[in-house]
Amino acid sequence: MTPILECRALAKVYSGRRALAGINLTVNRGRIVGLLGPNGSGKTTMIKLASGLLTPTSGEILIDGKRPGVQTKRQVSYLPERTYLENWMTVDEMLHFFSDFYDNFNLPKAAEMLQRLGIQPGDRLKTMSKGTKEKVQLILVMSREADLYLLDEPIGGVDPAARDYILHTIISNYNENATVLISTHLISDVEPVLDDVIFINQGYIALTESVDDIREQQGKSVDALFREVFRC
Amino acid sequence: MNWDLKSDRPIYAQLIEQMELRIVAGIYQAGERLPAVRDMAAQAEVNPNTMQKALAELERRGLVYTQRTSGRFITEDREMIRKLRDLLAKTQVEEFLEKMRSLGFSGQEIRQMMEQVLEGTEK
Amino acid sequence: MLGKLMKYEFKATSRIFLPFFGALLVMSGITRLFWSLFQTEELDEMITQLVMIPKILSVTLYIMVIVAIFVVTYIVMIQRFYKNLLGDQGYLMFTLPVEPWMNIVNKLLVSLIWILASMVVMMLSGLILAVGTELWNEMVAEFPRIFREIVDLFEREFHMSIVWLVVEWVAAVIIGIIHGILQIYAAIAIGHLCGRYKILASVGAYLGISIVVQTIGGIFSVVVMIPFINAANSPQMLSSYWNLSMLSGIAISLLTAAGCYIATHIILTRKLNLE
Repeated sequence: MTPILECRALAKVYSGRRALAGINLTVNRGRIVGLLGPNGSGKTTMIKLASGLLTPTSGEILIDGKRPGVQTKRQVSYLPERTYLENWMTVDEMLHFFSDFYDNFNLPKAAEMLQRLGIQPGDRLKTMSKGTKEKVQLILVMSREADLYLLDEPIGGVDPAARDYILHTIISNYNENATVLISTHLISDVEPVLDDVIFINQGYIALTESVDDIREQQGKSVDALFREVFRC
Repeated sequence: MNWDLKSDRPIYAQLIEQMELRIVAGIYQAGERLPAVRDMAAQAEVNPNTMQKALAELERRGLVYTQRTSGRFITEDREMIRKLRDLLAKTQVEEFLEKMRSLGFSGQEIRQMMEQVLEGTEK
Repeated sequence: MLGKLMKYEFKATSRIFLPFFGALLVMSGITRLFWSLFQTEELDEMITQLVMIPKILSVTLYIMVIVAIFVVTYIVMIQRFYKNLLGDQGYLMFTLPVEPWMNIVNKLLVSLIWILASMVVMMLSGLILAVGTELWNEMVAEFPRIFREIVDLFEREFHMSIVWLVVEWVAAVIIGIIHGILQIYAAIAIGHLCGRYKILASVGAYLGISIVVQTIGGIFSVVVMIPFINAANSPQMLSSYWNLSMLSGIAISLLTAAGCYIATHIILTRKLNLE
């Protein structure tokens, strides 16, 4: 089967800086993968390339064997670090926006998850706190039956209760044959939910391995290994 | 009972141990139907694939069985659960003895100490 | 998909435009009311001066609403492009399964429609002010005669059909608006490439494009004029000069619009760098 995500000598340079330095990478289906690296290591660049927001400087990135475009955008569900929702919209309008543009959006499921958070369909986004907006956005993204979920720092800067909610939402809602790529530098928080990890540093892939293999062979957690690999 | 996962050992191995504990302690009764893998994974806050792997191993050991249409169940073989309970207890005792010996206790002293403490707790 | 994009674009923008349109129509109604209620002839001087206050006030407000509509049209046009495509919302808009050109064309068409709609609403408000007044009645009475005279003038003297003239004017206006919008988009997109001084760079880009286009247009109009230096005494020559300069103006507008569109498209697809 074609891997869901493949990078071949993928490089991206912006404003003279090499964000990705020609990486080769294959990510298979049905996995939850951590894209781990310090700030500025190229995590976000990689995710933006996969979502089609950036175009490669050289090399290529393939989603399900295809270059990013309209077709891959149907298959990819992307959660950026920013809140990208329009403030004036109500929750209900947002739900219909998603179901209008994504035919794999499961509207009843999203509506139910929002209901459980106590968010009403008529609530306007501008009345919500930043944390609530982030949850709404996560629910919208995870309610798509996508092939690849790209989650950029989903737990960055949230309190522990929100972090639990977010991780819980991710593992109980992703499509089973799909792959979830989570970029973060908060490794110990996500470690239990990961199948595989990709260590990325200064635009290079430093390591790709399964979490259980790391623990079995090295006798230490991914978090501990990360601290070793990226010791300053 | 919380899922208590340490960070230095493979998660699936720890999940197997914790499942065994739950079965022995009767949190999961013999013959009881298990929740869906995804729900169990969400409850333990682990990856569903890892939970799946742990359950597959428990199945291989015969503690869990799958019925094609209705899901996963705890074995109805109470004898097997009893044996597992004994085995886990034995492991605990061995670990305890090893620690006591490293503190310099002899077999006799350990027995005396045990009696004292037991009397204390039973009063 | 373009239809869906436009549906949401209208939803987002009508919240702003419709209240202004409503305000304009209401203001023209009020102004009309004040001016027709207080007919000054029968009143003495003191009261005449008093009733001038609401009259002038309403006219001032009416003009302010018109100015506001112009300003708001520009602000909304710029904001919807800048914030919705190049701001945080761009993360959503550019990961929707739509072709990149649809995002640009969506904004363009919706802006164009709002501009045309404001023109219509302004004419409507003019009608509210004018219909039934003496001046209006005179104009209506005179209009067929004046219209016929104009048609005759053009057709007999300059050998131009009025239909063709109208088509030319409408085309020039619409293409002019499209050119204006796309030039703003291109300027914003170019400005977006320039790191920290985005707004300054956008303004610079806009002025730069304007200067280039006007220089080319100026040279072109001189070149077009040369063969017609003695045209003043020949109506035929005058009409073909008229046609040629109109058409070349439209052509330059069209080419600039196309250039701006292509630049915007390239920047948004290949050079997109959302913060």
